[in-house]
Amino acid sequence: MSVASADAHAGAARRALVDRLLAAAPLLTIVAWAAVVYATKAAGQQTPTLFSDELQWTQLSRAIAEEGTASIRGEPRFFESLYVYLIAPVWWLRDTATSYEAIKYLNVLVMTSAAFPAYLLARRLVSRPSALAVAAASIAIPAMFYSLYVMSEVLAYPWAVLSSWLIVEALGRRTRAWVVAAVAAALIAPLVREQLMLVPVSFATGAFLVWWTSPAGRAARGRSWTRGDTIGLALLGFGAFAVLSRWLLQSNTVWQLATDTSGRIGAHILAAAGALTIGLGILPLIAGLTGLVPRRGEPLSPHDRAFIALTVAFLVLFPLYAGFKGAYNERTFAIRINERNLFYLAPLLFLATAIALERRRLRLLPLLLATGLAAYLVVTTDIQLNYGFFDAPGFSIAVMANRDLRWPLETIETGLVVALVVSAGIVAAARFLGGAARLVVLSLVAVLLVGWNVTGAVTAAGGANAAGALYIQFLPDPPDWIDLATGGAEVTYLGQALTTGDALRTNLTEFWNSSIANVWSLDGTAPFPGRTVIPRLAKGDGTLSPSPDTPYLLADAGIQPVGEAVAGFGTLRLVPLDGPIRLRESLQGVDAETWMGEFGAYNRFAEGEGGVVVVTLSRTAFCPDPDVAPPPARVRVTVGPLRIGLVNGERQPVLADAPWASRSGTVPNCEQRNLTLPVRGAPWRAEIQLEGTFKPADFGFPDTRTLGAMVSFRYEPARSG
Amino acid sequence: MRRLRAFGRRVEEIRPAFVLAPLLAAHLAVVVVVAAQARHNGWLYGTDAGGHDWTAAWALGHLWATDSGAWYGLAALLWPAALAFGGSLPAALPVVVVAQVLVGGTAILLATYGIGARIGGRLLGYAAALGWVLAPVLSLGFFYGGDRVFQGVPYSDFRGLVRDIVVPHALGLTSSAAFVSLVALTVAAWLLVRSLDTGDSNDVVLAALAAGFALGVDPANAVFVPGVLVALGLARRWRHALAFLGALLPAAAALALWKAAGSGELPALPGFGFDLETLRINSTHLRGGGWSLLVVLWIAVAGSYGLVRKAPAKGTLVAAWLAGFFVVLAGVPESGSVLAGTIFPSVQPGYAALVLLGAGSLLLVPGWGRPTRAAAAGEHWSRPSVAVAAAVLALGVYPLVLVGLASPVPPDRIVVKESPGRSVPVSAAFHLRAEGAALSWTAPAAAGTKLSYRIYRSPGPGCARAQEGSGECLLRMAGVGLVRGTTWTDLAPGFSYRVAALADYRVDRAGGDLLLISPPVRAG
Repeated sequence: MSVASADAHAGAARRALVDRLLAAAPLLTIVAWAAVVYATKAAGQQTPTLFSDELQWTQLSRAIAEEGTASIRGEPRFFESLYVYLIAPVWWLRDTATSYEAIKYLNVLVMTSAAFPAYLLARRLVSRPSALAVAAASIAIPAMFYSLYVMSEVLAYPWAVLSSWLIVEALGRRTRAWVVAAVAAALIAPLVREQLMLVPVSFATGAFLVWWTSPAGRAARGRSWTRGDTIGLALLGFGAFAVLSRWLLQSNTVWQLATDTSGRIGAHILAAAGALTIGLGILPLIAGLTGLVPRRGEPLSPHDRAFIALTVAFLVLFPLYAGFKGAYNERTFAIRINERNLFYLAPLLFLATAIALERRRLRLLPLLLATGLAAYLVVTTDIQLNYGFFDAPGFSIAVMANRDLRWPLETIETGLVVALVVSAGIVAAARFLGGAARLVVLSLVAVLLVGWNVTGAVTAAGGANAAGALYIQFLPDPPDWIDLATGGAEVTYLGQALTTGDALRTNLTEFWNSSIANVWSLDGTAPFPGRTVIPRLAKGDGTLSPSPDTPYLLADAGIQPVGEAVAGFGTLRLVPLDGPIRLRESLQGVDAETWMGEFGAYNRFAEGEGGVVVVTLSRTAFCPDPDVAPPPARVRVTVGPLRIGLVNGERQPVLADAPWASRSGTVPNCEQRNLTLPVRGAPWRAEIQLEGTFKPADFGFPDTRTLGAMVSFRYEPARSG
Repeated sequence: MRRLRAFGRRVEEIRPAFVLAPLLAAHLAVVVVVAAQARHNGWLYGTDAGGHDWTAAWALGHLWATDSGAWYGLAALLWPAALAFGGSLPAALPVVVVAQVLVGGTAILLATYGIGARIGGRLLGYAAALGWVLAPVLSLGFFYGGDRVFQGVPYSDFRGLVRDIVVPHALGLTSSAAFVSLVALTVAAWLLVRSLDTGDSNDVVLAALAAGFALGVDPANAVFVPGVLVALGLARRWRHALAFLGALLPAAAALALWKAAGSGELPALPGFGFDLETLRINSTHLRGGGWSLLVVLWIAVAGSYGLVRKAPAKGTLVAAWLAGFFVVLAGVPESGSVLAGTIFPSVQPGYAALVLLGAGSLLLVPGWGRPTRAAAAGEHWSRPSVAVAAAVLALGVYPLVLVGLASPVPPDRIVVKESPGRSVPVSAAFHLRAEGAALSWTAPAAAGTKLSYRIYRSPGPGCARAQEGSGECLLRMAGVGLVRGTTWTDLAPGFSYRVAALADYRVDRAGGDLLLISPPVRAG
């Protein structure tokens, strides 16, 4: 090769590279802009808000980063998701705050990367501008706000899109390389998120459908095969499923619980589909479903057939999963609208929409049926207006109308019906438009859909930001104060009578402070995720067993350990430990607001050589109308030596047989009384028996608890001399 | 698949009698096994063993029409037996049960085969007949034994309920309107399916007379009629449809006469209070007590598709027949409930349709279920055959004349307890005597059924009129004792006493269904 020809070759190669970069510029620009938008929102997300999910993924990934294996609170866990391996290295950064920031930005990059396979898939079937629109819409959907969370959906979404692209290529081209790539992607999908087991199942279903509609499939069925035979075969298959679902699958608890209320499966499918339809802008459902039915005599490429087959499989399997999950959750947890399990359909619906509009694949009957379905969903779906509705971000567009435009629910519902009519009108008009008019419609649809979706995504992210801003108010600054105080040494949290709010605060504290290795409670109210321990009283001096073997104890409200606190926030106190936990004192039968019912007790395990205990009993917080007021509470306080006895088969502190003293009195409504009793050296115990409880609900208050009096105990040592 | 088809062809070539005879033998064997396994008291199986129909038969034997909730059909059939056995149902049960099992059971099996064969060939007919043979066994497997809680509702031993009550009823081991309805409707369906092939008006008239007899047994069987009309409409047999309706008129007239004679008033048209919520609740309870509602629904849908695709008019008839009983009547609160086990007699006339649809699901096997291309014969009118003439006399004229001659029941010949569905003949067979402080009586004939006796007492006659114009005695006496023996020794002077014979299908239990009651006697 001469020097001149080598230079020419190099120049051509440079131009080709430049051309390719220029060609990629629009897509890269879209992704970059989307990433910037979501990164802005990610920056505004000050703390995790979804518990225990976010804490669970955090724990797993932190454990991988620190120990190389997945565990939660030191308990080994089986593999749960590749997502935790993706974010694990981020925990090697400086501190929790830095790592959390980095994870959010990484999430944004990962989720917006879904645009690339979406574009590549779309490019196989539609023009370049349409493919760009599909890619843009795919990363504009409201569910993109999941990038603000430490959740496996972040990786699952682009992986599902990547798998879809590879599967369509494999079924379209049928070359070894593509098939291997698609099989690998499909098999890895369940490792990203369990729900994506639907990807290999869809792959198999799609492959079957492609074969079924191919000449080879028709030849295998024979010439005499009719559509009636196909329906019969499908019914036979459903019969086999009906038998199997009772015979084999009933041994699976999840399946059994979900199908026991099978009537709810359909309701959950409709609710989730309604949220998705609204979130995507209604039109993609109408045009997308219509676009799956080819025109009469329309020549179909292998990729066309592959795309239709895969999309049909997705459209059947993902809603079914959402329905089952919803029914199961309803039985075991709570009623949720599981759009969270459906949003993977979005890129395929966008692409089907592009195909329908670009190729005018808009047959009348499918169009009418799709419009009818969309109308049913829009009209019957219960719109949720919570700001930051995690499980169904599709409602965010309605939330925006409610919050920013100040539309009441009725106006929003009317607006959605208008959107439905406009969508159906646009799709119907597209049947008749050609040339420039069709291009205008396509462009208009692309802009409207991306705008609608981005609006939803930004609103949903705003809701998440608002929740984070609210939560952070209840955390100290800096929130990783325990890590800072211990220098990373392990800490055991111990609480009791933890309410839902306490559990949330504990989850947040655990997230921000990786030094918290154990979360224990005295009464089994410690929150998930992971193992919790209920230490028992081993000795009368307040020693608890087992020993946590951590150098620090984080004691919560009601827990008074022996030792001086080195740091604290609110009711939380960080106390150094040297061996097992030893309580100085504890309360029984007294809630966080200090109310007791018919029984309350105070245990003094340590630190006290004798003196008095002042028992303060009060009803100052209860001042009902004297005409209807309940009688005063009658109380009797007894103090005496403490011993460990068996109560209901458990070791508990009890009064020894020979008490030292007892006092009786009354506690009138709206008043307070003190009773003072002498005590000797610890350990000792004071018990209160109360007669005359009341229910605030009986006196016009919303509180339905049965209450006696508010109580506090104050130990006063004997004055020396 | 080819081998399977070849096997099918070979089976089709066998003479039907060679296959049906073993199937019939197998059916009878199943009946014998069920009869032995189900709890029974002599020949008495199940609860509510058709007492009021029996009472109506006994009354019609005296040319009286009761106002006790029973209808004329079964009465017209059973009155000779009721008279012959002195009104004692347990005494007549051996004859009634053997006749039902041999005649009725055979008719259902053969008619089921006939319907199946005319829809999808002999192989489908054999499958349907085999389905009828196996249905009792499958139903026992379908329902749960022991206690189960589903969606918070306790279900107690539904398998026991089916074994002891539902299956004996379905196989004709009890004297019940539901079994006779099942026989009549299955035969009517077979005749109608045959008419769709032959185009012969005689078959249509015969089918209508059989269906009319079913209406006389229980007017709720009217839910069968719309399916017939739709099937004839699909086959464009408009004149046959009119003929069918016309041949139902004697039955309708007899029903009107029966009610007029019983209550002294012309009846209002009965209405069906269908309620979707009732159907939903019954479906939920079927899920709770049974193995899988989805499988039952699948049989209905898949079988309907298979049969309708193969032969649209005939398939529609079977599908509508099932829907009439398992959807319409199952959604009527008065039909009973699955949870209490009271709905099964109401839907029993649809059992053969369910079996046919189960067999019809076999037509989903690719290749087998394709529509039959053979051209059906056109609609034509034939000269009435001997069979038609005989059927008109037996099922049309005879009941109409019998009912027309009937008058209201005279006072104190029938006693009604609690509700019209619990009426019994007043029988002198007790020879009830009040002597000193003791009441004694003679045990009525019971053919091995172990009876117990309830002693009723009241200061006065203890009878109120059940309804205006009716002579039936609405019992207003207190039950004061239940004994196995035939004496009672705690008489209160001046009080009136009656003794009623009762029996429970659980032989060890005293009490049970009211079967026969004595006239009152007064203690001195």
